[in-house]
Amino acid sequence: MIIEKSIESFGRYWQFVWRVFSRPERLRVYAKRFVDEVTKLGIDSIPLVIVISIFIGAVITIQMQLNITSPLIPAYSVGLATRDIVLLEFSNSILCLILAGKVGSNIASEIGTMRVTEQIDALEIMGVNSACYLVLPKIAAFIFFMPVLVILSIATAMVGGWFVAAFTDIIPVSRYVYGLQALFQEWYVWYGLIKSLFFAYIISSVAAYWGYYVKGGALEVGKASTNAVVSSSILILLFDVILTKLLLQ
Amino acid sequence: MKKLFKKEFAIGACILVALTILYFGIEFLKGASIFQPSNYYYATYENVNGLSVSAPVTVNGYKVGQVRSIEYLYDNPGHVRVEMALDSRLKLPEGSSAIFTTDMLGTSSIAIELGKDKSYCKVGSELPTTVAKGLMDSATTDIIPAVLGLVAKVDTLLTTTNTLMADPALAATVKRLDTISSNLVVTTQMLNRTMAGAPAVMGDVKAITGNFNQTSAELNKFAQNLNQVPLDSLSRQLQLTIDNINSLTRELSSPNSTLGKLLNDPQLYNNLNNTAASMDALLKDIQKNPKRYISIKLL
Repeated sequence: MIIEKSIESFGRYWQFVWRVFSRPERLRVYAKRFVDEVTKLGIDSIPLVIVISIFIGAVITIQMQLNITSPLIPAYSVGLATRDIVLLEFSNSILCLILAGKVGSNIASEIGTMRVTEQIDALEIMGVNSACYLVLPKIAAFIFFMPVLVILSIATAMVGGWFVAAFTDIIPVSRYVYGLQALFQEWYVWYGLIKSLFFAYIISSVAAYWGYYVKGGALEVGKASTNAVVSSSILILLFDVILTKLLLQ
Repeated sequence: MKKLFKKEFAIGACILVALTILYFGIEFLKGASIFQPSNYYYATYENVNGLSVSAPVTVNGYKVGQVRSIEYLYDNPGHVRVEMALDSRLKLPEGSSAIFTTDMLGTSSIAIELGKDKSYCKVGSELPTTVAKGLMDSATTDIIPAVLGLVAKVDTLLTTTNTLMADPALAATVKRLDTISSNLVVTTQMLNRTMAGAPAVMGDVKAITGNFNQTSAELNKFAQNLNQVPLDSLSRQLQLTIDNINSLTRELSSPNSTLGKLLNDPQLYNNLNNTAASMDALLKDIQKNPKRYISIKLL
């Protein structure tokens, strides 16, 4: 029963995606909506991303220093571990889990409310492809702006670690910076950015799907946004595994 | 319309900032000092096991640059060329060599040993190379043969020790040692008991020394008094007295003085003796004939 339902839901999702990625009718309107969505989904998330990244970067540095105290492990491994954790997992996967909470619930409740208040039906009657008109700018905007968020996250997380080195005596700055630069593999940065594009697509499309197919009232909208966050989080982690296998091996 | 421009401006600014951070961030993580120009030098090794791009290049242990690229020389098989980016302020004297070192965990780096020459290497030139002996190398070439030599000696030593240990005399000695140690236990117990009485004795000794102290203090006082006595005048007076006594005895012995006559002249004695004899005769006579001398008249 559950399997049947989830397969049905999966099929409906792809049907929805097919409608979303149809040819837009008027590009000018879409361009304006695209700019609005970038502002709403992307630029408004920047403060959250920066605050979270600074704190997580600082915490990772402290934890590494406190827990790696073996004389056999070279001293630069603190900076190295901080950098690799940030590049490989934190600033894409974990950041996207957090953004799934912020952006995903936003998209789901917005579209859900439009569905409940029959605005979507009105669009349909006017002959507009409502899925494409509402969802495509969001997905495009979020995928477009995601790398910016990831880059800011990487930079501020390392700055957070640098704060720890500079303002406490847990680890000297020179050793931290030396660790940041030790054994650097540039591919990790591109790997993180590529992963984040997939996650951006998952967050925006899954949340839009849950919002688009709401039936009922305000309660159902709330439920839909919860569902959106939960299922996009699970999908993010699933794709994290798959993409890591594909990109790093 | 103005609002739209503002939004687009914000987006553009964010993307520009992000791209800048991305470019300089990657350069920074690669270890390139962004604001410092660097000079390139090259070194060719036969084995670069454990060396990676951005590995440190040091002079006297101080990091002056890093490895920028490592490439296999296809036209010179068996050689790998390492490109090093060094601080442009660093000048390498002619004869400097790039030493390939591997630490205990297998991570490699390049240490530059500066030459003694006055002239400097040209930027971009190829440095002569050497490979430092790692820990594992010295282990295989030096330590293991030495250990193998040791093993035979240790074997002999162990055999001898075994023979020695099997000797029954050793067991007997150990047994005797046991007895000795048990005796020692008893002895120490006795000593302990003796020592337990020691504090009282020590108290007495303390009291005695206290008394001694007092006595010596008094002796001191006495000696001081003695010092104050005018011995000099006393002895002079004693001398005088003795002289007087001397003269007195001389007087006594001389027959001219009155006392000398008294002592030496028997005349007085004879007279006295005669007198006593006369008195004796007189008294005897009185006893015999009292009436001759004493007339008792009863009216």
